[in-house]
Amino acid sequence: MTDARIEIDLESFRHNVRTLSTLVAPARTMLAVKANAYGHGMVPLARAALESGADSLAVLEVPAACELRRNGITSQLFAWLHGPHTDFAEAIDHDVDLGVSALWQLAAITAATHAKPARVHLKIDTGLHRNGARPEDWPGLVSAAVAAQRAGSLTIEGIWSHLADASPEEDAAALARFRRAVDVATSLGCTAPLLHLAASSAGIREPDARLGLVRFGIAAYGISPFDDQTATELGLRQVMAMRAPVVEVETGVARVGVGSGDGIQTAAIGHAHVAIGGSRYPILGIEIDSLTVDVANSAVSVGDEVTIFGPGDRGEATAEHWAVWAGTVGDEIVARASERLPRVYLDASPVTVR
Amino acid sequence: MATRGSAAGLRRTAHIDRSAFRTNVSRLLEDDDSFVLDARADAYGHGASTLIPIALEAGVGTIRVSPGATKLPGIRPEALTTASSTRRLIADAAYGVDGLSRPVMSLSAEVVAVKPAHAGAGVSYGYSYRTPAETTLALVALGYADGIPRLASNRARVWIRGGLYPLVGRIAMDQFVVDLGTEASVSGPDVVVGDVVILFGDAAAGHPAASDWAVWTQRGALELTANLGSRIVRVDHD
Repeated sequence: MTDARIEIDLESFRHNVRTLSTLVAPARTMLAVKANAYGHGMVPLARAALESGADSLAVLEVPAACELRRNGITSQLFAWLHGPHTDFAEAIDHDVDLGVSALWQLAAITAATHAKPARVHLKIDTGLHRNGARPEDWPGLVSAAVAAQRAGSLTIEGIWSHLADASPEEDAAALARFRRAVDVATSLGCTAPLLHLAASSAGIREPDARLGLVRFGIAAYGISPFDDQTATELGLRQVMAMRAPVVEVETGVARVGVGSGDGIQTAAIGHAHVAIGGSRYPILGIEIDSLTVDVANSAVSVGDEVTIFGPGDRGEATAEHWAVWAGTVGDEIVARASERLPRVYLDASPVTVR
Repeated sequence: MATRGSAAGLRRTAHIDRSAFRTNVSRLLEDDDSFVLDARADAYGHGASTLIPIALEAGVGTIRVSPGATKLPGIRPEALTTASSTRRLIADAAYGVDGLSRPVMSLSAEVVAVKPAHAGAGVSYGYSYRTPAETTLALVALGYADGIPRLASNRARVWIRGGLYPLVGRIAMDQFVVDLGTEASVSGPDVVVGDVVILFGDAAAGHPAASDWAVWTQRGALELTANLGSRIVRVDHD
């Protein structure tokens, strides 16, 4: 009997990264491997991304960047979500590019600088209202950064923001706000070598927003960022598959060895199905360690392999289907896929990481 | 869930109150000492290796664990079972998510940004929330990758400095936004970067309960705690 596992198809991932980086060239491709590469495993996915068209990695936070450095990754790394305890000295030592949204971060970074200058990317809030400096606070942040650059404690590597994907009109308005912020920065003596704004959605559909670099995330994992077009229609292939064995069959009901403790969303009951031998069977119930499937009048037996989700080419549901069933996005389906299941990396020679 | 910290970064913490668990289990044993304690899925994210010894010491005879979790260091294997039985299986009351017993887990994070916003400001992806009036927004470094279900968007409330505030806009993979201006609070919106945000904890202290999150996210409270991610560091307390 095969064990329950999460398969990561590195060739599919490389195909997606190649497809997306070719699409946006000459803009550079930064690949988002934050949140353990959306649940896929940060280090193997980081390596595969850099082999196939990405030249830099987005990691969210300093400890993740340091972990990549410890694993021998030498590319440009970008971390932008910081707290009062974030170890900026370690980030600077490891040549981690730091997103900066507020004066307190700039002060902490310059205080942590010793042997070499910090590398910073100044963030303007273009309407998402998460991180980033408000337009009212932007001149102050830029001026302080320019002063710190002149003093030798940092270099301004980029100006950036993040889009809300609310509508093409809203994104166009955000792009206009971004350009105004760049103009303000220029007038204050800040000439950043790199501008970046787009993630998957705008990277694919809004060429004007690609600027110097696109930060691709979900599309590279083979999940569409759009409601009206699937990953397959975009020429992308889902990277993750969840598989588990039938552990028991009794009066037309099969029990499968993964459950809600593996991130399977109970909200999907009533809609969700799994695939066994290329055929679909409806899920009846989801418990913490197992789920039950209606296999009445079928030849399903103990040990058969069940695909919960996968790329969708052998009758199975995709993460996009699960997202619709559970009222969420495919990003959550993969990012929350079981941490207790081993990742099996499909490549020239498969590798299991527990 | 991780049990130790790595390099200093963002603070995301699941506090485990061992004495609350001991109290809950002892009280359950007074009523009926034949139940099986349900400690599947790493004691529903609370930490099986921490809580099972406490349960055994208190007098629980049998503990149900997940397949593959039958070997725990220092624990006699005959006390652990993966099989279902006709005996009563206890979970909610032991972990304090039944609304009666003491909550064992408290989930917290920190404020990483605070800024004013104009009326009508769209918040997070798709602008599913717009500020009804001029307000102050706080950014919290927890998201659905940490097991905070996206379904809680525009539904949940969180505790900051004695007040309860609505979680507004779509929960993202790594962060969510709180509107500090729309609710009356005990101390006023004097929130600063680094302030502790409690998602759920002790209802008696005014925190939301895990059972509130269960309603907001349409799942069981223990399903929620079992799925908290490894960026959250578990810290045990006596």
